[in-house]
Amino acid sequence: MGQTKNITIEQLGEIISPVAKNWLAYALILPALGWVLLFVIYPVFYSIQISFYNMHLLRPVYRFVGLATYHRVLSSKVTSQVLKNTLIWVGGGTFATMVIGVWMGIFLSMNYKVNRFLAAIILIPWILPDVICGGLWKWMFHSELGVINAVLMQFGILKQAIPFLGQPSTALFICMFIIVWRLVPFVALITLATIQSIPLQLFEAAEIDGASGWNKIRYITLPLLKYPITIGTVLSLVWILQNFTIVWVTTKGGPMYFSEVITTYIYKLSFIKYKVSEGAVLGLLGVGFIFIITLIYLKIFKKFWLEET
Amino acid sequence: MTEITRKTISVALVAIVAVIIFLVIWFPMLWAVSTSFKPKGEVYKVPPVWIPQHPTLEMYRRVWTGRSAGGVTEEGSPWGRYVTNSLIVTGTTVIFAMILATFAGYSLARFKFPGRTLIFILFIASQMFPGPMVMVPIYGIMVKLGLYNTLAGLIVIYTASVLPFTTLISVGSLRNIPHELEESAMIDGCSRMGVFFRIVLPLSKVAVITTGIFAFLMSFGEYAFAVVLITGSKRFTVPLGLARYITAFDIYWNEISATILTIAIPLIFIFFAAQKHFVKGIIAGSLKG
Repeated sequence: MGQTKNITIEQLGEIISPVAKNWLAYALILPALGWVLLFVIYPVFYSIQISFYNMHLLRPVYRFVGLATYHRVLSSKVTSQVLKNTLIWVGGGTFATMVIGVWMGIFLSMNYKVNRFLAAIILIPWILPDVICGGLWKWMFHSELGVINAVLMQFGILKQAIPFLGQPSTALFICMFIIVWRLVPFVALITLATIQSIPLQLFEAAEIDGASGWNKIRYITLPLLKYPITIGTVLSLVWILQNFTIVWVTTKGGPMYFSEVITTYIYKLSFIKYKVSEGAVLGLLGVGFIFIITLIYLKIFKKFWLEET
Repeated sequence: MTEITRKTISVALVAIVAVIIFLVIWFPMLWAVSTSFKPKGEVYKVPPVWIPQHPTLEMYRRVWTGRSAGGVTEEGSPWGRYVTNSLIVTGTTVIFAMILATFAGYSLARFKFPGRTLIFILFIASQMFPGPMVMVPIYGIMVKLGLYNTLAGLIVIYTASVLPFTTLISVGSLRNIPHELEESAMIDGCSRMGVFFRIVLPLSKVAVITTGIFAFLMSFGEYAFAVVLITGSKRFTVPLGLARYITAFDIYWNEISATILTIAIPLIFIFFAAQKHFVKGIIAGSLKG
């Protein structure tokens, strides 16, 4: 016992000095770090605690139930429907966002005047609040009153209005369309920024060698786009997985549970049915997904951040 | 000849694609503009009325004087209150984010201290959180702290949400300030803290502003935490007011359009005014981390 505690003054100095020398660094990072630890990291652990009880917002008494809540939530039919929807919503949404976004970025990088104008104005969906995006499209897709039905009927494409948001087969896909519409400009813009940073000589050299327009894209642009494609995919996955507002404003998860996704169902479970422990379990499942995505993201980008300085 | 036709065709194609992109992206906003000037009779016509035949400012007047269907009328328009609440929450979040993110960013950009790597990883990972997945524990924490149903509660959680990303943005831009400036100031006898306040801060104005704009856009439109943490329309923020309007008064779309536009147009102006920095900032913040 005594041996380990016998630290000389010099040794103590060695332990303290890197901290003391960097006191300003610690002082500057501490407020932000504390804030993030308390309101970003701690809630995850608090979730775990809640998930082992049977908390209900209208019942003051609750008790430890072990994994019972997990069992109830994960074996429910609604949960499997919700997870299936979430998979379609996140997978389909990310895929569409990336394909359209990267294509649009390549299109915008072509040297036409109109593209400079487009690049300046396409970010609008991305800066508007979710509530506004959801609301505007909800109304346009409205079954009797929406402009989309009206136009389709005017041109004789439809005989009868389609209740896009009210029928099981389309509701989720309309939500997906709205979020893709919202995220595409972002992906297009980071793609564009990357292409613009490619040295022109590469293209000139390819042109001298007789490469066609498509071949230039295929062999020069696309390989260099690995970076924005990875980052765009990771961010879209997380953004769509974490999105609550668009589905909530347009369909509230309906009809029935046909457009219910994990976030809206967590809300319904926790704050409409008051079963907060069940909400916490489902939330943890979501946290797990995000954690996996985050690990992949870290693996790719840790090097970049930490090695540059 | 064939060369010229090919060129014409490709220019025409580009034009068509550009028009489609423009329309898909802007149509909802343009349609809202048109609708907001329509009297009731023109709103639901088939075929649709593209340009209002009897344009009226009535909808804007209703929304802002409280005679609209959505704004329960007795005490005038609720929108003034929603906007005030939103500005308090957003403004405070922006100030906190700018100060804390710049401090943290400088620390991570310039110092090599034990624990730095871990903190860095923590911030990068925290970008993905928090969100609706943790709405239950956040609700619990806010109740415990006595911040449930207060604007302060929203400020706290919004600041936490924007800090990781804004810190990384400021790391990115603080790195671009040349070392030599700080070093020569230190040789001249300036303390490390003096260097930060006298040299670094004035040079990082753009980074600080970018951080602020990002924090503004992100917290102004936030809905999921607001709907969990705020009850009672007295403390409603703009997204809460809009969402209630949209879901409860699904028929009054000319009024809703007028409301949406009154909120969206200032946002669009702020965005265009700051676009150059903002776009550079998100590209730096996301591409480089």
